[in-house]
Amino acid sequence: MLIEMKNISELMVDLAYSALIFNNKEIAEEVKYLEEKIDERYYQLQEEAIKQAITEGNPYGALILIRLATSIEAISDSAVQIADVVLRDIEPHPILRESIKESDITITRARVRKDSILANKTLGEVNLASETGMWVIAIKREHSWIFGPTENTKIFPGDILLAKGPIEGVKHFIRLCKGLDKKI
Amino acid sequence: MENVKDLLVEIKDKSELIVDLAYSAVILDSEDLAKEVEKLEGEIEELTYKIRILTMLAANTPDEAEQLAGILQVADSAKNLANAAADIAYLLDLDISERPFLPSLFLKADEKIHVVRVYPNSSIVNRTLGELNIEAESGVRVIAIKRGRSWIYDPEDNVRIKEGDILIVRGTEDGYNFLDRVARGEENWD
Repeated sequence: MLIEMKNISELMVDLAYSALIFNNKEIAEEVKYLEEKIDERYYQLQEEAIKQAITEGNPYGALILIRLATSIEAISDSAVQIADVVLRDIEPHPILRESIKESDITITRARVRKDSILANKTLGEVNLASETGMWVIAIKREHSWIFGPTENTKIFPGDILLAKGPIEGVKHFIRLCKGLDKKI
Repeated sequence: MENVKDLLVEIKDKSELIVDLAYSAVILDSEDLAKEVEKLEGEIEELTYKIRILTMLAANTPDEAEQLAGILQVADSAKNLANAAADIAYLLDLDISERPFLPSLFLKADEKIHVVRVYPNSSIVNRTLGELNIEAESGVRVIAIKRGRSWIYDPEDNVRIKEGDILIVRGTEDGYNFLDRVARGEENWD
């Protein structure tokens, strides 16, 4: 459960920056929704850790689990705080977008064309992250979203992929989506 | 505002690095890494302070002030994130007898942080991170290198890999497995 919390919190941070770079309220709302999932797991983990401490008569295991979970919960709170900027009435300051663009791990998006080699394959099949360094963190399909897609998520023509990764990977990623690069 | 932008880039990079280093410190049971986390936490604190001052100076109208408040909020969030990450590394302050299983909590299949040792016969020895373009080619990012008793944190492109280096990497399982085989000299990088 701890690793699951860690993974959700990392997705939240990525989505929060994505919401900011694309000034997108739907993504920001998802961050708030994920925070509820984190909280549920946090309370559950606290309870289990304490029960275990009582049965085993050793408090330290529980202490460590609870402290780790508390930090992860605080990280997810920070993500919510970042996303909150997007949910205000005023557009985020343009330098926020620029600063994300220029950072070590940047965020980009591209639409998958029909003749892209990514079309009609799962993320696992194309092994995008290992081959290009770009991690798909969300997919927009018509009017709905898939947040935190897995290896089994299939990519369809017309999907808009949001990905994070190194600047060096961005161009190739966009060309793959557009069908201009045929080799991954 | 150009200065504020540069500071925001720095704070975002550092707040992401500190999270990875904090987990790495726990996974490797490394007090050196925990110390670096503490140092980074201080740097991020300073960056936030500078961003606050520069941002306050830039406000002329109420609308501008509202947009600038968003910048303060993001900087502050990055700082809070860094503080939370640092608390993870500070778990190493507990006596070892009280936390013997701590690293094993993260030795799970879906954990993204791994350790790779570079052997003398590996094809990546004496090549720079930039030449190898490791992240875009393999999907794993080198977040720190342990060389002898010293550390290189968040290594730049011009850092050359040497035999005996221990690379702390973050990325896909496939990418890690590939890099590990290459580092052992069992497979060629190119």
